[in-house]
Amino acid sequence: MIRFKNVTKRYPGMVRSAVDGLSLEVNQGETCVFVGPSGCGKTTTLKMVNRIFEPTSGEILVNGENILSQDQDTLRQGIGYVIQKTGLFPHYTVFENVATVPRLLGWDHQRINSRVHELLRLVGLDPDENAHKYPRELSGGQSQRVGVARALAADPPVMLMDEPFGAVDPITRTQLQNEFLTLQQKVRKTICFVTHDIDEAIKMGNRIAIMNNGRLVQYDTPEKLLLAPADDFVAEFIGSDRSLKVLSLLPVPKVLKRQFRVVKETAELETVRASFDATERNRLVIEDENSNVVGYVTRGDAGKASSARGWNRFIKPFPTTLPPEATLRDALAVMLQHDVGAIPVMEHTRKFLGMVYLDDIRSYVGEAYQESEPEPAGEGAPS
Amino acid sequence: MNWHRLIEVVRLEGLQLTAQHLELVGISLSIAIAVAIPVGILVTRPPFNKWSLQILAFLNTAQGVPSLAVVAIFLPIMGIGRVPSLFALTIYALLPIARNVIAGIEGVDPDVLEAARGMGMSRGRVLTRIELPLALPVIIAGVQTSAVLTVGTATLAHLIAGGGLGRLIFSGISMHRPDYIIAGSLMTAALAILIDQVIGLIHRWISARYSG
Repeated sequence: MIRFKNVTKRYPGMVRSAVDGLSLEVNQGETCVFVGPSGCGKTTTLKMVNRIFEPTSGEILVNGENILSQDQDTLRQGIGYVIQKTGLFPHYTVFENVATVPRLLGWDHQRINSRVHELLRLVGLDPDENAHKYPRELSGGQSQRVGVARALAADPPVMLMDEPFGAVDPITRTQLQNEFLTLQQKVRKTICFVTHDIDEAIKMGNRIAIMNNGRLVQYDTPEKLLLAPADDFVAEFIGSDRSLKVLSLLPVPKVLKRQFRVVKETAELETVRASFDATERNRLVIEDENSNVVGYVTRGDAGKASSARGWNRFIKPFPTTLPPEATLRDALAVMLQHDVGAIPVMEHTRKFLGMVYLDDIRSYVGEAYQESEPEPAGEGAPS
Repeated sequence: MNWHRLIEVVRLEGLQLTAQHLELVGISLSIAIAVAIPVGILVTRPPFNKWSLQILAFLNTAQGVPSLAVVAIFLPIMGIGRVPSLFALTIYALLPIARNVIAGIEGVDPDVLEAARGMGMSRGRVLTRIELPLALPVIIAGVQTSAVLTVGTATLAHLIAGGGLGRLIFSGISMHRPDYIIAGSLMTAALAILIDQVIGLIHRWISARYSG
């Protein structure tokens, strides 16, 4: 969808190229995050796509077409552009700001009106309340939402976002990031996103392009990047806590133990004992007639029970559970908080799926590192 | 000091000279606006925008040339009368307006400009829809400064037979008639204050609409 072919940008009077021989491809509907220290060339790269800067050499193709062969303004009208300080027009209302590109494209009034209202709702702003406000009347978060709505106005297939959430407080930032992820699920744009924050990159990107001194150092999915940094620079840039960061990318089903004996609470004591005999584990998961988990029974307690149905009183509820979309990071956090070594995972219908064990998380992450990293990077190794 | 004679002076000559004075100011200011705004805009466009700061500095310095000197410089070239007066006044009125056009446009938030260009607005559209509206309060302030300055400077037009309220003042000086001097000065000052207030009103109205 967006393709950089050996792109180099050298500013006049500079010895070093700002971007040096960059080649990469951003797939349709994916978010590619450019990240790196300041001066690494990430912003220049982004701004070459809509020709704010022109490449010194190399080609950039958007949708298979060389951007230099298109009229500059037409090209830009087809690319959504969001910048850090929003760049909202202070003398235009929210409505007029969002309507900018549709007006340039000559849409009729009716169409613009309905599109602006639709977009404001999409970014979580009440159109009746906000359409007639001026940018100075908006909070930082609201301004940024208007900026996103304005970029999406003419439904461009490609979006460029230059540190879009960089100028707001951390709480608003997290909120905007989450909202944008949800929004992207709906709109499926091809996005180039620039940030200096590796955590934001990991959160927002389908792929991450790490740049340093104008060169592309590594272009990979967040998981690959965290598990197998290409060199010391990447490893250091990601941070010594990368083993913790990778946890937030791995869903719990990766380490789920599914082979569990599940016994109905209406079962006889014999069935319970037979189940314990058939397993090494010291717990049985107990569910009711509708296959909803009610709790567990330990081997020791089952041994204490005497009557056929009296074992029921030994059923203990689980202190906490996790949904299947939880990450290993969530699992670890919950384990530490409740001081437990295992947590059951169940569907929202309370159907039992399996157990997550602390040891399994540890060995899974450990193995993942060993596989991808024959030579340990020497720093930040997991305990 | 005779109040009766002062009123008499104003009644006999004052109104006519005021009209003449206003005419001088009005014409020179109008020409100055018509010239300074396009020139100011041109200075902010490539390739001149590279030197816009230097041009701005030059205009600020040029403002320091005494108004009397400006009138005197054109005397040998253009002679005396109404046209040379208007010419000198126009040149003098140009500077604050041109200066503020450049400063106003240069002062537009670069992020706003980048957003406008990045969304595919043409350069012309950026100028008319974004830069000029946002620079307008500063431009009007320049016109305000220029107008007040020109009202004062226009008194010198009398020295080259250009007419206006300067006649009362300079006649008063040569005839040792303080009532003439005071009448001329007061009327010039009143005129300056009035014009300042009127343009100030427009300025506030526009700022309220456009400022971010």
